[in-house]
This record gives sequence, C-alpha cells and structure tokens, in this order.
Amino acid sequence: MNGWTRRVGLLTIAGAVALLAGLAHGQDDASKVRALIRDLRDPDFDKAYGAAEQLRKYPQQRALIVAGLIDTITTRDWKRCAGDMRQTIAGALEELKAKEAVVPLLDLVKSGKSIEHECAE
Amino acid sequence: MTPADVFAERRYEPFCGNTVLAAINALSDFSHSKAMADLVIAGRWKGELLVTLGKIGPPRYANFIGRYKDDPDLSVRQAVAAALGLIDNETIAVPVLIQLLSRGDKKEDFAVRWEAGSSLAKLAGRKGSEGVRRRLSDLLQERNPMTAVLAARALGAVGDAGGLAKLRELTSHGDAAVRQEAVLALGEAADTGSREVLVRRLKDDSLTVRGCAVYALGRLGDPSLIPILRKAVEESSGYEEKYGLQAFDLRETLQEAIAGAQKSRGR
Repeated sequence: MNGWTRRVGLLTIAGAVALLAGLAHGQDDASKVRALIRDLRDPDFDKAYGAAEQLRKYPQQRALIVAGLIDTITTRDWKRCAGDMRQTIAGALEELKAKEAVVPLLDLVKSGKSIEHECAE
Repeated sequence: MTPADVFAERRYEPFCGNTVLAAINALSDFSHSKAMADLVIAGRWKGELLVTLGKIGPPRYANFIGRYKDDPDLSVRQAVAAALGLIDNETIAVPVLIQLLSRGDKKEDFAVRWEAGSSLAKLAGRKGSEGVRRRLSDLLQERNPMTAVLAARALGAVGDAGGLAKLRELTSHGDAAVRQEAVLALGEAADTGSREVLVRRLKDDSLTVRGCAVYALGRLGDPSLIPILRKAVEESSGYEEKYGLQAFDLRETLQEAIAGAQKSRGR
C-alpha cells in the first residue's frame, strides 16, 4: 500500500467515525427530546413548563418536537395554569413556524378548553 | 403620561394577551378561513379571529367581517374596523369603515372610530385609492367635528393637502377635545407646514391641548423650536400649579419633544 492509498483509507475511517458520532449524537438528542415531551405531558405545571423551555435547545429535532407539541396541546390537561401551558406550547409552535399546527389549534379553540392566562407571573 | 402615550394606548393589539390566538394569526393562511368563520359564528373569540380573517381571508370574506359592525361588544366592532383595513376588498370595506368612523358619540365609541380612521388611512395609502380619498374628503364637511377630525387625520396621514388644511382649521375649534385631536394628528403627520398653527396652540386655554402642541412641534424635528417649547412649558407650569395637574405631564412631554428635535439635528 503506497502513502496515497493509506491517506485515503485513514480519511475514510475518520469520516465514518465522525458520521457515526453525529448519528449517535442525533439519537442522543432525539431520546432527550422524547423524555422532555413525556415531561411536557405531565399534569404538574412546573414540570411541564420546564420541559417546554428545555425543548427550545433542540431546534434540529423540529419534526419530533412539533409532533409532540401538537399532540400535547390538543390532548393533555394540567392541574393548574392549563391556559398558560397551552399558550407556552402555542408560542413554541409559532417559533418553529409550524403551519401544520393551525388546524389542531383551531380545534383546540373550538373545544372550549382554556387558552387564557390564568396564573400570576 | 404624555401625548405619545396616548398613541400607545390607542394602538389596537388584539393578540398581546393570548399566545394561542397569536400563533393562529401568525401561522394561518387562506385555507383556514372557513374554519375561522365557523368559530366566529359559534361566538368564540370573535374579535381576534375576525382580525386574522381580515389578514388571511379571500376578498369575499369582507362581507362576512362587515356583518359584525353592529355587534354589541365594542371590542368586536373595533376588530371589524381593524380587519377591514387588512382585507383586499375596498368596495365592501370602505362604506363599512366610513360608517364606523362616523357614528357614535359615546366616549367608548371613540376606540372604534379611531381604528376605522386608521384602517381608512391604510387604504388611502394604497395605489389607486382615489375612491377612498374622495369618500374621506366628503367627511371633512360633516357637522360632527370629531368625524371631520378623524377623516382629516386619515387623509393627513397620507399627506393629503385637504386633510392637513382641515386639521389646521380644527386646531381653533371651540371644543377642546376636537382641538386636541387635530393637534395630535398634525403631530402624527409631522406636518412642517403647520408650525405656526401649532405654536399658537402653546397658549391654548386647555393645558391638555398645550401638551399636545409641545408633542406635535417636537415631531417636526426643528431644533430652533426648543427655546419656544421651554418657554411655553415654563409659562404653563404656573397655570398648572394654580389649577392642579392636567392630563399630561408637561415637563416629561417637553423632554420627549426636545429629544425628538435633537435627534433630528443629528440626522
């Protein structure tokens, strides 16, 4: 094996390692996002609100986050400050420019569930 | 409080307290019009959804929006006034807006009239808006001076000479509320041709009007006015001590006016 071939071989291996590391990192983030979405569904407002804030750190997981936010805002309830929680989630959907959220948001309005600010800052 | 705060208070912000409706407003498009109209018919969040319909709805939805112009809820009528300034259907929107601007003499009606005037100003600023300007010009002859001042404000906002002339004329009206609105509108338009008229208002019987004149002159961006404004506020302070505090803080208004004039000098 000449020097040139050896260098190409080493570069290929390095590239593969970087790719695998990136994939592992992506999978790591995806599992963190899934855990946060579980917390977001928790009836405890503080836990859910904290999760919503944390989700902002993973914009690269947009598809996963948007699906989780839409499902949560339309199906879940919280023991207190439910209107505030829905406003927080809607704000996150707006930030993510999630046009697919409009129909579920209109359904939410139709449902008559609280979407108003209820709790003190 | 200063006259600049008056504009901030009058600014219609239907979504500031509700992020869910704000998100719908930001993300929706024409394909959601029917679902929104159904919710309005069901009586849910009428005002906010009417504004969004005005923004995203096809022109035919102007008819639907206009149907709510007589709603007993003032905030819904205000929303109609805002929505018709957004939708692309002058034929339907302008007559309804003219009606909303012209009617109601109660204090609470003013918010609707003001919003209708703002929407008409938007429409008058578009290309090919001669029809809107003509309708507004007709209102300048109205017997109700508040209607005339609001129509003149809408015309003045787009630099229409007839509107600005009417505003200057109304700065000497017998009703202080009308003088106040005329002076505020000239300030909003930053009309340099009104300098002398506004300087005369620095000696108005009403301290509120004087405060508006200080604001309006500050908007002209002319640093040579600063000594005149200082003197006027000094003279008014004695008046204020004698008759008690007025609607505006004249010293704060003066500071804002000076800052405006100096900023302009730096340009």
